[in-house]
Parts: sequence; structure tokens; C-alpha cells
Amino acid sequence: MSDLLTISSWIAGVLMALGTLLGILRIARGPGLADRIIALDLVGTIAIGASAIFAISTGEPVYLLMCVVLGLLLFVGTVAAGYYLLTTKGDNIMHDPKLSSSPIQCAPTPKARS
Amino acid sequence: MCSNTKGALVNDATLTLLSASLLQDGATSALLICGATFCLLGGVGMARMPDLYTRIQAATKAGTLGVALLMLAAIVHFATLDAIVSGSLAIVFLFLTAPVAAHVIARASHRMGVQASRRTVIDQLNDDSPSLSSHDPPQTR
Repeated sequence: MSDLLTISSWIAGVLMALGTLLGILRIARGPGLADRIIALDLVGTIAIGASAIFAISTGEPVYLLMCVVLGLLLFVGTVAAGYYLLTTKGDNIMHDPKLSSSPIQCAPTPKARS
Repeated sequence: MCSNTKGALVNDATLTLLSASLLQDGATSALLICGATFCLLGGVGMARMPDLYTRIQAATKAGTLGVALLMLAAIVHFATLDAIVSGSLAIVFLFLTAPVAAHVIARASHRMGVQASRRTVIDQLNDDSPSLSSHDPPQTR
């Protein structure tokens, strides 16, 4: 493995770690169950990419099969969570419609558009 | 003279090999950086988007594209049949399943009554949406 590849895989790993941290932040403070499910989906997707980086940096192509298996498990888990969300609509404590309207936290909204 | 030409040939061969390897490594690193940047952008969209639905599209599109680029990087790096098959399998599977999962979550949360952001322009799944009711009469339930 060359120097260029080592440096670029380190940079890629740091970027992926930052993305994972942002996803975990959304899991921690997401105002609803669906937000958390979607953030967990993103974190799992990033984990698939991280295993691809791991395959490159170790030089073992076996870890690419791990990506396939991880993608399968992620899809099944997300669809199961979505089905759970669909069947128990509105009667669990995780869903609060006042919270889920989620007022915008990043930028002040224009009050009157018209 | 003879040894000279032979040495030149060997030099040429090693140079070609070296440049091919450098090209492979450069392509792999470029794909790695691009894919990791897309994954980071998915995380940024997940943290900063105002709404569940916009968060869904940030996570699905950016994350899927980033992981596909990383898989391409692994394929370019290994360049064996095994790696090509498993990497393409992962890419195809991810591209097939990520929109389905996002659609399931979005549909379930819309039925649950998760509100969209106040800046949302149109919501075609609502019955009192202006564009939908102007085109066809609302369904009687």
C-alpha cells in the first residue's frame, strides 16, 4: 500500500467519523421516532462505507462481502422499523405531534410569506 | 549496445508499471475522498435539515452515493473478479433498497401525522392540497 493511499484512507476515515458524529447527534435529539430511525439508517450506511475503506487499507477483499451483508441487515431493519411505525400510529409515547412539527433550528423562518 | 537497449526496455517496463500503479492509486484515493465527502454531507444534512422528509432525502441520496463511490474505490483498488463481483453486488443492492426503505419510513410517518416544515410548498398526499384538488375531485371516503 502506497503513501498516497494511506493518507487518503486516513482522510476518508476522518470525514466518515465526522458524518457518523452528526448522525449520532440527530439520534440523540431527533424529535420523533422516525427521525431516529432515519439517522440510524444513515449511520449504518456510513458503516458500510467504512468497511469498504477498511477493506482497502488492510488489503483484504473479504471485507467487501461484509458490506453486502451489512446492507441486507440494514434494509431489513429499516423496513421492520417502518412497519412498526405504520402499525402503531400515534399511540406510542415517542410520537408527540407538537415536537414532531420540529421548528426550524438552523435558520430563522420568515414569518409571513404572503 | 545490446545491454543498453535491454536496460532501456526494462526501464520502460518498470516505468509503465509504476505509472499504472500510480494511476490506480490516484483513482482510488480520489474516489475515497469523494465518497467520504458525500457521507459527511449526508451527516451534515441530517443534522441541519429542518424537517423529517428533507432529512430522509439527505440521508438516502448523499449516503447512498457516497457508499457507492467508496465501493468503486475498492473495486478499482483490488481489480480482481472476486472484489468486482462483491462490490457491484453491494452497489446494486444499496441502490435498490435505500429508496424502498426511505419510502417506507416517509409513508409511515406521513400517515402518523408528522408535520412538514412550515416552509414546505406543496404536499400532494394531503387532500386539501390546492394543486391536487384543482386537478381532480377529492376522493370520498
